[in-house]
Amino acid sequence: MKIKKEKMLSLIDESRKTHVVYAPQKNGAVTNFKKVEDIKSIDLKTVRTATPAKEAVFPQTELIYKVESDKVHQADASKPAILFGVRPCDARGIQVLDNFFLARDRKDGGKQPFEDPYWKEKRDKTLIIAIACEKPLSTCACSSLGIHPASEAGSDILLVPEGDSYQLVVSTEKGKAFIEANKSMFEDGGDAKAAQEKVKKACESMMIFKLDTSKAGQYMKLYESPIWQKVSQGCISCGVCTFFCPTCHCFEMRDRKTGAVSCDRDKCWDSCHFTVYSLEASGHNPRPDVAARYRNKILDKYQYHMTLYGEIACTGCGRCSDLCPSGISLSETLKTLGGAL
Amino acid sequence: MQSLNLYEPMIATIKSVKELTPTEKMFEVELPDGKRLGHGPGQFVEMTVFGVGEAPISICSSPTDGNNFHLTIRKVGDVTGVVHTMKPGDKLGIRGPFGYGFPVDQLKGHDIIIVAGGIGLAPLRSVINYIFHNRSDFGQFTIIHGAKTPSDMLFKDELEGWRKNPNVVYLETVDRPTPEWKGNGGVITTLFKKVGKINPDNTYALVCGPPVMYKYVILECGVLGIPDSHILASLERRMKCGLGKCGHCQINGLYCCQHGPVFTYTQIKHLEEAL
Repeated sequence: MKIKKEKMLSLIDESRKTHVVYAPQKNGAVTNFKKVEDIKSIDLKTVRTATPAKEAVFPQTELIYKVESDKVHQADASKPAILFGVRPCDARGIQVLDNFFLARDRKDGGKQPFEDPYWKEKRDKTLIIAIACEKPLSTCACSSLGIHPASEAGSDILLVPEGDSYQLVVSTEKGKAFIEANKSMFEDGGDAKAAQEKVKKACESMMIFKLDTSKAGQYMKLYESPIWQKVSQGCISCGVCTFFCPTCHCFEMRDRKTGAVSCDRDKCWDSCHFTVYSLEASGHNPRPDVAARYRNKILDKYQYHMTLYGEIACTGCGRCSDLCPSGISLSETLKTLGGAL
Repeated sequence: MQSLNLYEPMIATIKSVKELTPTEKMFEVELPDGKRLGHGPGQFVEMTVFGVGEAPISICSSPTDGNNFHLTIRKVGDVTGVVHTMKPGDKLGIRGPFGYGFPVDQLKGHDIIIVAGGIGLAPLRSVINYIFHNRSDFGQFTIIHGAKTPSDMLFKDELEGWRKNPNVVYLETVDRPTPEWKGNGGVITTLFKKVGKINPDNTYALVCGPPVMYKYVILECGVLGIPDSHILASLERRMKCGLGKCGHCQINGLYCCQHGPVFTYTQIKHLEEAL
């Protein structure tokens, strides 16, 4: 099944009547997922948005409830949404976070494996339309992480560019229902699997960045090693690598006073790189230095998450390596750690 | 939104406030309609001062103490600073109880040694009261208690009762004795030699105190022959959500709020970050 590119955009425009549509849009030099007001502003040329697509489901700051005169009022329910133009790395990131926030198949004896209601509420109402990547960036490495530039993982519908059309890979009931409801826009024909394979191969042939994941799950052996000082050298604990990570999920909850007897509670992103993140009331800090915090980030993604959920919490999007102001590269870190094992 | 939203606090009322030391107060808290919290000894709640923020606080009363529950709070930051100015009738937000507390059913029939350093006595008071209220279910009962100075000691009137109580061996020390102090001086580990002969395989040690204390106390428990699986440590971490999502209390691959805050030493001895 396929759809003409311009028809897809018309369909997205039409869908704005029933859905809030988020798509990549350029603002100055930065492209990010924003609510679409005009489909002409959709930017499908930029391969990687600055902030990962997770932001539409897990906003950087989210009002979760209001308190007025000692009564708690829940935030308004979200509207049905379409997340359009998500790249495979970010769609996979949302899949990793689905497993985490919805506590799916957690392999441990923790108390109350718990479905995060805020994630679930938005996620249930969000349709993810992903788009395959025809060109990689210099730090793209999704193929090292079990997905690839035309991977459908995490999407409801994947669009694979082919000439003036998109071939469709539909992975979920939600995706099927959307196509069924708009079937006049789609046409039969072509071979989606073949198109997917073609785009994958072409894009992968241009990929220069690699992540060695062969030692994932073994880094605990290096826990006491001074190697963490080496791989974290230059880290200024700015948190960029975590704020722009499609699988990072840490958050803080903060109250904002809105009146004498009222306040809002926000859930907002936090980073395990920040000094105060693990600081306890007593003054004790279990991760007092940069190396310990960098180690925690790497181990969380390449060790702890594997133990709890059986998968690596990294999608190879490359943002951490690309954006680090100190030039710390995940590829180099994994290479150095792997070499020491 | 699902009906049971564990992020959403219940509005609770402060029923009474008791000053324990210049920096610590105990608050009696009542839930709406006198509802019970339903906690076990050693669990904690997330406590909100609306408009200021939320902090994890261990419950210092036993479920056998009555419908209301108690929180002992040290004035140390924004939230706890404001709580210290609050009066009976003022409102707090309460979420929880969270985590694994002390497994009291498993402890029944055993000898118990409580090791409490400083404000670590607060969470342990929940299980101490539980044991006193079900005294015949437990064997030999010892409380080892250390504080910085005599005036830093919490629950002073209760300690007075324990000193005279034939149902408990109560040992205490202060790091810095004052001229008026008639008891032991020195760090908490010096009290272990005063613990008589024990039956280690039938003994559980329940430990809570400042971070520096654990390693030394656990060594002493080992010297007494208490198996690792019988050493139960309640750990402090910056627990924000209580639900294993926000990340702050992660100890290697475990979440203190979900897998703890009470851990067996077997669980944590190989976790480099735990102690």
